[in-house]
Amino acid sequence: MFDNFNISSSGLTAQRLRMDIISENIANVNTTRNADGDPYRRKIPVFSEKTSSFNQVLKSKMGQGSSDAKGVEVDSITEDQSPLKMKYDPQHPDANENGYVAMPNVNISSEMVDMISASRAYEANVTALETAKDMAKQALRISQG
Amino acid sequence: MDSTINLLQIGLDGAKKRQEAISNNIANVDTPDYKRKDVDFLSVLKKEKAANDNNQNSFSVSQPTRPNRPEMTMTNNKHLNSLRTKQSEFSFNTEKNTKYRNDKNNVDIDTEMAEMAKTNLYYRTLAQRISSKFSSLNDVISKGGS
Repeated sequence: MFDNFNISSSGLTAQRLRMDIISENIANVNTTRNADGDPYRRKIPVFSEKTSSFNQVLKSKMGQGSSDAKGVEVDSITEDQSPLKMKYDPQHPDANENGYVAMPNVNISSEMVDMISASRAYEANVTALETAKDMAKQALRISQG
Repeated sequence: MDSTINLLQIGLDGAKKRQEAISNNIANVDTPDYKRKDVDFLSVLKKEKAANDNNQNSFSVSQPTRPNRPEMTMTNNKHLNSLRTKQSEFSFNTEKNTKYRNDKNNVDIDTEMAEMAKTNLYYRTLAQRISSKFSSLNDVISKGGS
C-alpha cells in the first residue's frame, strides 16, 4: 500500500545525497590536501535501480507481494579520475619542484548545472509523492459515501 | 453481486500500479542504464470486462486463479459469490528499445509528469464513480423498507 511513498522517498534521498556531494565538491574547490595528503578529487554519486530482495521476489511469485519496483539507491560514490588542474604558485607549500600546485579537478560551472538538475529532480519526486498522497486521500473518501 | 464495483476496483488497482511505475521512473531519472517501466492496465481491464460480460447470466463467476487460495464452489445458483476481493495481476512492462540520453536512460521527465497527472485524474474519476455507486446502493437499501 505504501510502495508509492517508499519509491518517491528513495528518489528524494538519492537526490538529496547528490546535492550534498555537489556542495562538498564546491566547498573543496581549492583543497590541496585530503585525508591522505593528496589533492581533492571531484566526487560522483552513482545511482542504480533498487532491486528486490530474495524474500520479496518469493512473496510476489506466491501472489502475496506487492511489486517489483522499489525505487532508486546509491550504488557508490566514485572519484573523478580526470587530470588535476596545475596552477603556477611557487610560494604554495604544496608546490612541486617546478612551482606548480595540483588543484582539484572541480569545475564550478558544471557543479552548478548539476545542482540545478538535482534540485529539479528532487521537485519531480516531491510532485510524485504529492500525487500518491492525493490518490490515497481519494481512496479514503470512497468510504464516506 | 455487482460487476461494476468489481471492474472499478480493478481499475483503481491498475491506476495505483501505474502510479507506482511512474514514481519509479521519476526516482530513477538519473540512473544510468535504467529503462522506463509502465503498466498496461487497460488491456487487463478489457479482459476482465469481457469475462464479466460472458458470465453475466451464468451463476459461476470467473475467479482468477491465485496460488495458495482454495476456490469456493457454488453448487446452487442461490449461493452468494465468495466475497473475497477480486485481484488482478498487473505487471510492469519495460520499454527496452529506446535510448533517450547518453547514459542509456530513457526516462523523459516531461512525459512522466504528464502521465502521472493523467493517472491521478483517472484514479479520482474511478474513486468518485465507486463512491456514487455505493451511495445509490445506500439509497436503494434505505428507501426499500418504508
